[in-house]
Amino acid sequence: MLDLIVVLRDVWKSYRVGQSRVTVLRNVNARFKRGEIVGIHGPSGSGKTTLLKLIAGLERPDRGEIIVDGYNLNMLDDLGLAMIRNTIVSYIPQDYGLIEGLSVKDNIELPLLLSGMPSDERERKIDEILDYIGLREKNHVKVSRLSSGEKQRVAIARALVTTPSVLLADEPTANLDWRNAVRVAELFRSIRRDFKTTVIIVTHDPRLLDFMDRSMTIVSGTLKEISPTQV
Amino acid sequence: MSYISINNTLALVTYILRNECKSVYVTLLVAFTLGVLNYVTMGIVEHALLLIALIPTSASIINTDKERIIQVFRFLIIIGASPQLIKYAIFLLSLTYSVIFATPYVIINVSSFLMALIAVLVVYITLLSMYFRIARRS
Repeated sequence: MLDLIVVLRDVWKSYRVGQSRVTVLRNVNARFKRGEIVGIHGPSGSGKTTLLKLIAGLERPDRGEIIVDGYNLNMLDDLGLAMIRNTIVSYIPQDYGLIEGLSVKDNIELPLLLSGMPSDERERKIDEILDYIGLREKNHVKVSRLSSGEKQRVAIARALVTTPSVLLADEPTANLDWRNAVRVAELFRSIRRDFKTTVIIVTHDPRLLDFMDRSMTIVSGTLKEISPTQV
Repeated sequence: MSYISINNTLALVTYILRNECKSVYVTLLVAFTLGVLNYVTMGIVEHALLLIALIPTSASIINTDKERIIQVFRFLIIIGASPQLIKYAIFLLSLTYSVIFATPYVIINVSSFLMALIAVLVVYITLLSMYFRIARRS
Protein backbone atom coordinates (compact mmCIF):
# COMPACT_ATOMS: atom_id res chain seq x y z
CA MET A 1 0.00 0.00 0.00
CA LEU A 2 2.94 2.37 0.76
CA ASP A 3 4.00 1.93 -2.84
CA LEU A 4 0.88 3.79 -3.97
CA ILE A 5 1.06 7.58 -4.19
CA VAL A 6 -2.29 8.43 -5.80
CA VAL A 7 -5.50 6.47 -5.41
CA LEU A 8 -8.85 7.37 -6.96
CA ARG A 9 -11.90 5.49 -5.75
CA ASP A 10 -15.31 5.73 -7.47
CA VAL A 11 -14.75 9.34 -8.49
CA TRP A 12 -17.57 11.23 -10.19
CA LYS A 13 -17.45 14.81 -11.39
CA SER A 14 -20.01 16.90 -13.20
CA TYR A 15 -20.39 20.54 -14.16
CA ARG A 16 -23.42 22.72 -14.42
CA VAL A 17 -23.99 23.93 -17.98
CA GLY A 18 -26.94 26.28 -18.08
CA GLN A 19 -29.90 24.50 -16.49
CA SER A 20 -28.51 20.98 -16.85
CA ARG A 21 -25.49 19.07 -15.49
CA VAL A 22 -22.87 17.40 -17.65
CA THR A 23 -21.06 14.42 -16.16
CA VAL A 24 -17.35 14.64 -17.01
CA LEU A 25 -15.97 11.71 -14.99
CA ARG A 26 -17.90 8.51 -14.26
CA ASN A 27 -16.91 6.11 -11.55
CA VAL A 28 -13.17 6.56 -12.09
CA ASN A 29 -10.90 4.13 -10.26
CA ALA A 30 -7.12 4.32 -10.63
CA ARG A 31 -3.89 3.68 -8.73
CA PHE A 32 -0.54 5.28 -9.39
CA LYS A 33 2.69 3.95 -7.90
CA ARG A 34 5.62 5.97 -6.60
CA GLY A 35 8.17 6.78 -9.29
CA GLU A 36 6.24 5.66 -12.34
CA ILE A 37 5.42 7.65 -15.45
CA VAL A 38 1.87 7.20 -16.69
CA GLY A 39 0.21 8.55 -19.79
CA ILE A 40 -3.51 9.21 -19.99
CA HIS A 41 -4.73 9.44 -23.54
CA GLY A 42 -8.08 10.67 -24.77
CA PRO A 43 -9.83 13.02 -27.16
CA SER A 44 -10.65 16.65 -26.33
CA GLY A 45 -13.44 16.99 -23.81
CA SER A 46 -13.04 13.45 -22.50
CA GLY A 47 -12.30 14.61 -18.93
CA LYS A 48 -8.47 14.42 -18.92
CA THR A 49 -7.86 17.91 -17.56
CA THR A 50 -10.61 17.53 -14.95
CA LEU A 51 -8.94 14.34 -13.73
CA LEU A 52 -5.61 16.16 -13.25
CA LYS A 53 -7.29 19.10 -11.49
CA LEU A 54 -8.98 16.71 -9.08
CA ILE A 55 -5.64 15.06 -8.22
CA ALA A 56 -4.07 18.54 -7.80
CA GLY A 57 -6.87 19.57 -5.45
CA LEU A 58 -7.91 22.38 -7.78
CA GLU A 59 -11.40 20.89 -7.97
CA ARG A 60 -13.40 18.64 -5.68
CA PRO A 61 -15.19 15.47 -6.78
CA ASP A 62 -19.00 15.16 -6.53
CA ARG A 63 -18.56 11.64 -5.18
CA GLY A 64 -15.67 9.32 -4.43
CA GLU A 65 -12.28 9.62 -2.77
CA ILE A 66 -8.90 10.90 -3.91
CA ILE A 67 -5.92 10.00 -1.76
CA VAL A 68 -2.57 11.66 -2.48
CA ASP A 69 0.51 10.61 -0.53
CA GLY A 70 -1.74 9.41 2.30
CA TYR A 71 -3.92 12.56 2.40
CA ASN A 72 -7.60 12.15 1.65
CA LEU A 73 -8.29 15.34 -0.29
CA ASN A 74 -11.98 15.29 0.73
CA MET A 75 -10.89 15.84 4.33
CA LEU A 76 -8.81 18.96 3.57
CA ASP A 77 -10.05 22.56 3.55
CA ASP A 78 -8.86 25.12 0.97
CA LEU A 79 -5.71 25.93 2.94
CA GLY A 80 -4.88 22.23 3.23
CA LEU A 81 -5.29 21.78 -0.53
CA ALA A 82 -3.08 24.82 -1.15
CA MET A 83 -0.35 23.28 1.01
CA ILE A 84 -0.66 19.99 -0.90
CA ARG A 85 -0.12 21.93 -4.15
CA ASN A 86 2.90 23.71 -2.70
CA THR A 87 4.60 20.63 -1.30
CA ILE A 88 3.33 17.30 -2.67
CA VAL A 89 1.66 17.82 -6.05
CA SER A 90 2.79 20.11 -8.85
CA TYR A 91 0.49 20.84 -11.76
CA ILE A 92 1.61 22.14 -15.15
CA PRO A 93 -1.33 23.52 -17.15
CA GLN A 94 -1.43 23.36 -20.93
CA ASP A 95 -0.60 27.07 -21.27
CA TYR A 96 2.40 26.59 -18.91
CA GLY A 97 0.85 28.74 -16.16
CA LEU A 98 3.81 31.13 -15.96
CA ILE A 99 3.83 34.88 -15.33
CA GLU A 100 5.05 36.25 -18.65
CA GLY A 101 6.34 39.54 -17.23
CA LEU A 102 8.67 37.88 -14.73
CA SER A 103 12.10 36.41 -15.41
CA VAL A 104 12.76 32.66 -15.55
CA LYS A 105 14.35 32.79 -12.10
CA ASP A 106 11.49 34.77 -10.53
CA ASN A 107 8.88 32.34 -11.87
CA ILE A 108 10.78 29.39 -10.44
CA GLU A 109 11.38 31.17 -7.14
CA LEU A 110 7.72 32.02 -6.35
CA PRO A 111 6.67 28.57 -5.05
CA LEU A 112 9.73 28.58 -2.76
CA LEU A 113 8.90 32.07 -1.47
CA LEU A 114 5.44 30.86 -0.52
CA SER A 115 6.89 27.96 1.42
CA GLY A 116 9.05 30.38 3.43
CA MET A 117 12.40 28.94 2.35
CA PRO A 118 15.43 31.07 3.33
CA SER A 119 17.05 33.13 0.57
CA ASP A 120 20.38 31.24 0.30
CA GLU A 121 18.62 27.88 0.11
CA ARG A 122 16.27 29.25 -2.57
CA GLU A 123 19.23 30.42 -4.65
CA ARG A 124 20.88 27.01 -4.38
CA LYS A 125 17.72 25.13 -5.38
CA ILE A 126 17.05 27.46 -8.33
CA ASP A 127 20.62 27.05 -9.60
CA GLU A 128 20.34 23.27 -9.31
CA ILE A 129 17.06 23.12 -11.16
CA LEU A 130 18.18 25.54 -13.89
CA ASP A 131 21.25 23.39 -14.47
CA TYR A 132 19.06 20.29 -14.59
CA ILE A 133 16.75 21.64 -17.29
CA GLY A 134 19.62 23.38 -19.11
CA LEU A 135 18.37 26.95 -18.89
CA ARG A 136 21.03 28.48 -16.62
CA GLU A 137 22.00 31.06 -19.23
CA LYS A 138 18.35 32.24 -19.52
CA ASN A 139 18.15 32.92 -15.80
CA HIS A 140 17.30 36.62 -16.11
CA VAL A 141 15.36 36.49 -19.37
CA LYS A 142 11.66 37.36 -19.24
CA VAL A 143 9.41 34.38 -19.91
CA SER A 144 7.59 36.32 -22.66
CA ARG A 145 10.82 36.25 -24.71
CA LEU A 146 11.24 32.46 -24.64
CA SER A 147 10.23 29.92 -27.27
CA SER A 148 7.39 27.44 -26.57
CA GLY A 149 9.89 24.66 -25.86
CA GLU A 150 11.80 26.84 -23.39
CA LYS A 151 8.58 27.96 -21.69
CA GLN A 152 7.60 24.32 -21.23
CA ARG A 153 10.99 23.60 -19.63
CA VAL A 154 10.61 26.60 -17.30
CA ALA A 155 7.13 25.37 -16.35
CA ILE A 156 8.64 21.96 -15.56
CA ALA A 157 11.38 23.63 -13.49
CA ARG A 158 8.79 25.68 -11.60
CA ALA A 159 6.85 22.50 -10.89
CA LEU A 160 9.95 20.52 -9.91
CA VAL A 161 11.65 23.08 -7.65
CA THR A 162 9.58 22.09 -4.62
CA THR A 163 10.57 18.42 -5.19
CA PRO A 164 6.98 17.17 -5.33
CA SER A 165 6.03 13.52 -5.05
CA VAL A 166 3.61 13.86 -7.96
CA LEU A 167 4.01 15.88 -11.15
CA LEU A 168 0.91 16.42 -13.28
CA ALA A 169 1.30 17.69 -16.84
CA ASP A 170 -1.64 18.71 -18.99
CA GLU A 171 -0.89 18.26 -22.71
CA PRO A 172 2.79 19.19 -22.23
CA THR A 173 3.63 18.74 -25.91
CA ALA A 174 0.49 20.25 -27.45
CA ASN A 175 2.25 23.48 -28.51
CA LEU A 176 5.52 21.84 -29.59
CA ASP A 177 6.85 20.30 -32.79
CA TRP A 178 7.73 16.59 -32.60
CA ARG A 179 11.47 17.18 -32.03
CA ASN A 180 10.78 19.39 -28.98
CA ALA A 181 8.00 17.04 -27.85
CA VAL A 182 10.51 14.17 -27.70
CA ARG A 183 12.93 16.33 -25.66
CA VAL A 184 10.18 17.16 -23.16
CA ALA A 185 9.06 13.52 -22.96
CA GLU A 186 12.65 12.45 -22.30
CA LEU A 187 12.96 15.16 -19.64
CA PHE A 188 9.93 13.70 -17.86
CA ARG A 189 11.52 10.24 -17.97
CA SER A 190 14.73 11.67 -16.45
CA ILE A 191 12.69 13.36 -13.71
CA ARG A 192 11.02 10.07 -12.86
CA ARG A 193 14.45 8.38 -12.69
CA ASP A 194 16.41 11.14 -10.88
CA PHE A 195 13.79 12.45 -8.45
CA LYS A 196 11.66 9.28 -8.01
CA THR A 197 8.69 11.50 -8.85
CA THR A 198 5.43 10.03 -10.11
CA VAL A 199 4.67 11.73 -13.41
CA ILE A 200 1.12 11.69 -14.80
CA ILE A 201 0.77 13.13 -18.27
CA VAL A 202 -2.47 13.64 -20.17
CA THR A 203 -2.21 13.87 -23.92
CA HIS A 204 -4.23 13.51 -27.09
CA ASP A 205 -1.07 12.42 -28.96
CA PRO A 206 -0.77 8.59 -28.88
CA ARG A 207 2.93 8.78 -29.95
CA LEU A 208 3.79 10.16 -26.52
CA LEU A 209 2.59 6.95 -24.86
CA ASP A 210 5.76 5.17 -26.11
CA PHE A 211 7.68 7.09 -23.43
CA MET A 212 5.43 5.92 -20.57
CA ASP A 213 5.74 2.99 -18.15
CA ARG A 214 2.04 2.36 -18.67
CA SER A 215 -0.88 4.05 -20.33
CA MET A 216 -4.55 4.62 -19.74
CA THR A 217 -7.31 5.88 -21.95
CA ILE A 218 -10.20 8.08 -21.03
CA VAL A 219 -13.30 8.15 -23.16
CA SER A 220 -16.52 9.91 -22.16
CA GLY A 221 -15.31 10.19 -18.59
CA THR A 222 -14.45 6.52 -18.15
CA LEU A 223 -10.83 5.54 -17.46
CA LYS A 224 -9.36 2.25 -18.67
CA GLU A 225 -5.89 0.68 -18.71
CA ILE A 226 -4.39 0.16 -22.17
CA SER A 227 -2.46 -3.04 -22.75
CA PRO A 228 0.88 -2.48 -24.57
CA THR A 229 -0.48 -3.97 -27.82
CA GLN A 230 -3.22 -1.39 -27.97
CA VAL A 231 -0.82 1.57 -27.91
CA MET B 1 5.51 27.52 7.02
CA SER B 2 5.29 31.29 6.68
CA TYR B 3 2.33 30.79 4.45
CA ILE B 4 0.67 34.16 4.94
CA SER B 5 3.25 36.83 5.58
CA ILE B 6 2.94 40.59 5.18
CA ASN B 7 6.08 40.50 3.05
CA ASN B 8 4.55 38.00 0.65
CA THR B 9 1.35 39.98 0.36
CA LEU B 10 3.15 43.30 -0.14
CA ALA B 11 5.54 41.79 -2.66
CA LEU B 12 2.64 40.29 -4.56
CA VAL B 13 0.63 43.51 -4.63
CA THR B 14 3.69 45.55 -5.62
CA TYR B 15 4.37 43.14 -8.43
CA ILE B 16 0.78 43.28 -9.71
CA LEU B 17 0.65 47.07 -9.52
CA ARG B 18 4.00 47.45 -11.25
CA ASN B 19 3.47 44.97 -14.04
CA GLU B 20 -0.18 44.19 -14.53
CA CYS B 21 -2.17 47.32 -13.65
CA LYS B 22 -1.64 49.57 -16.61
CA SER B 23 -4.88 51.43 -15.84
CA VAL B 24 -3.26 52.90 -12.72
CA TYR B 25 -1.10 55.10 -14.92
CA VAL B 26 -4.09 56.07 -17.04
CA THR B 27 -6.03 56.99 -13.90
CA LEU B 28 -3.18 59.14 -12.62
CA LEU B 29 -3.11 60.93 -15.96
CA VAL B 30 -6.89 61.47 -15.73
CA ALA B 31 -6.45 62.85 -12.20
CA PHE B 32 -3.81 65.30 -13.30
CA THR B 33 -5.81 66.42 -16.35
CA LEU B 34 -8.97 66.86 -14.26
CA GLY B 35 -7.10 68.92 -11.71
CA VAL B 36 -5.75 71.24 -14.38
CA LEU B 37 -9.15 71.50 -16.12
CA ASN B 38 -10.92 72.23 -12.87
CA TYR B 39 -8.44 74.97 -12.07
CA VAL B 40 -8.77 76.50 -15.54
CA THR B 41 -12.62 76.38 -15.59
CA MET B 42 -12.87 77.37 -11.90
CA GLY B 43 -15.01 74.33 -11.04
CA ILE B 44 -17.69 74.83 -13.70
CA VAL B 45 -17.30 71.43 -15.34
CA GLU B 46 -16.60 69.47 -12.18
CA HIS B 47 -19.82 67.44 -12.02
CA ALA B 48 -19.74 66.44 -15.66
CA LEU B 49 -16.10 65.46 -15.25
CA LEU B 50 -16.87 63.42 -12.17
CA LEU B 51 -19.28 61.25 -14.11
CA ILE B 52 -16.88 60.97 -17.01
CA ALA B 53 -14.04 59.98 -14.67
CA LEU B 54 -16.06 57.46 -12.68
CA ILE B 55 -17.00 55.34 -15.66
CA PRO B 56 -13.59 54.91 -17.32
CA THR B 57 -11.70 54.39 -14.09
CA SER B 58 -14.05 51.68 -12.87
CA ALA B 59 -14.25 50.15 -16.32
CA SER B 60 -10.49 50.25 -16.81
CA ILE B 61 -9.80 47.72 -14.07
CA ILE B 62 -12.54 45.49 -15.37
CA ASN B 63 -11.42 45.60 -18.98
CA THR B 64 -7.76 46.60 -19.14
CA ASP B 65 -6.21 44.85 -16.19
CA LYS B 66 -8.57 41.97 -15.52
CA GLU B 67 -7.02 39.33 -17.76
CA ARG B 68 -3.49 40.10 -16.58
CA ILE B 69 -4.50 40.03 -12.92
CA ILE B 70 -6.43 36.79 -13.46
CA GLN B 71 -3.29 35.17 -14.90
CA VAL B 72 -1.30 36.14 -11.79
CA PHE B 73 -3.92 34.84 -9.36
CA ARG B 74 -4.32 31.65 -11.40
CA PHE B 75 -0.55 31.08 -11.24
CA LEU B 76 -0.61 31.66 -7.48
CA ILE B 77 -3.42 29.16 -6.94
CA ILE B 78 -1.58 26.54 -9.00
CA ILE B 79 1.67 26.92 -7.05
CA GLY B 80 -0.18 26.61 -3.77
CA ALA B 81 -0.65 30.16 -2.49
CA SER B 82 -3.01 30.10 0.46
CA PRO B 83 -6.55 31.45 -0.04
CA GLN B 84 -5.84 33.97 2.76
CA LEU B 85 -2.77 35.35 1.00
CA ILE B 86 -4.79 35.86 -2.17
CA LYS B 87 -7.66 37.51 -0.29
CA TYR B 88 -5.26 39.87 1.53
CA ALA B 89 -3.60 40.68 -1.78
CA ILE B 90 -6.98 41.46 -3.33
CA PHE B 91 -7.86 43.67 -0.39
CA LEU B 92 -4.57 45.58 -0.57
CA LEU B 93 -4.82 45.83 -4.33
CA SER B 94 -8.35 47.24 -4.03
CA LEU B 95 -7.17 49.70 -1.41
CA THR B 96 -4.36 50.94 -3.64
CA TYR B 97 -6.69 51.20 -6.61
CA SER B 98 -9.18 53.03 -4.41
CA VAL B 99 -6.68 55.69 -3.39
CA ILE B 100 -5.72 56.21 -7.01
CA PHE B 101 -9.36 56.20 -8.15
CA ALA B 102 -10.23 58.71 -5.46
CA THR B 103 -7.54 61.14 -6.52
CA PRO B 104 -9.49 62.77 -9.39
CA TYR B 105 -12.47 63.38 -7.13
CA VAL B 106 -10.38 64.80 -4.33
CA ILE B 107 -8.64 67.11 -6.76
CA ILE B 108 -11.99 68.40 -8.06
CA ASN B 109 -13.90 68.56 -4.82
CA VAL B 110 -13.21 66.92 -1.47
CA SER B 111 -16.93 66.28 -0.84
CA SER B 112 -16.96 64.09 -3.95
CA PHE B 113 -14.98 61.52 -2.01
CA LEU B 114 -18.26 59.70 -1.41
CA MET B 115 -18.49 58.92 -5.09
CA ALA B 116 -14.96 57.61 -4.99
CA LEU B 117 -15.95 55.29 -2.18
CA ILE B 118 -18.67 53.83 -4.39
CA ALA B 119 -16.02 53.20 -7.02
CA VAL B 120 -13.92 51.45 -4.36
CA LEU B 121 -16.78 49.13 -3.54
CA VAL B 122 -17.31 48.32 -7.20
CA VAL B 123 -13.63 47.50 -7.60
CA TYR B 124 -13.46 45.35 -4.47
CA ILE B 125 -16.54 43.35 -5.39
CA THR B 126 -15.19 42.89 -8.92
CA LEU B 127 -11.84 41.64 -7.66
CA LEU B 128 -13.37 39.32 -5.11
CA SER B 129 -15.78 37.79 -7.62
CA MET B 130 -12.81 37.44 -9.96
CA TYR B 131 -10.92 35.50 -7.29
CA PHE B 132 -13.78 33.08 -6.70
CA ARG B 133 -14.15 32.55 -10.45
CA ILE B 134 -10.44 31.72 -10.80
CA ALA B 135 -10.49 29.49 -7.73
CA ARG B 136 -13.25 27.45 -9.36
CA ARG B 137 -11.73 27.27 -12.84
CA SER B 138 -7.94 27.30 -12.42
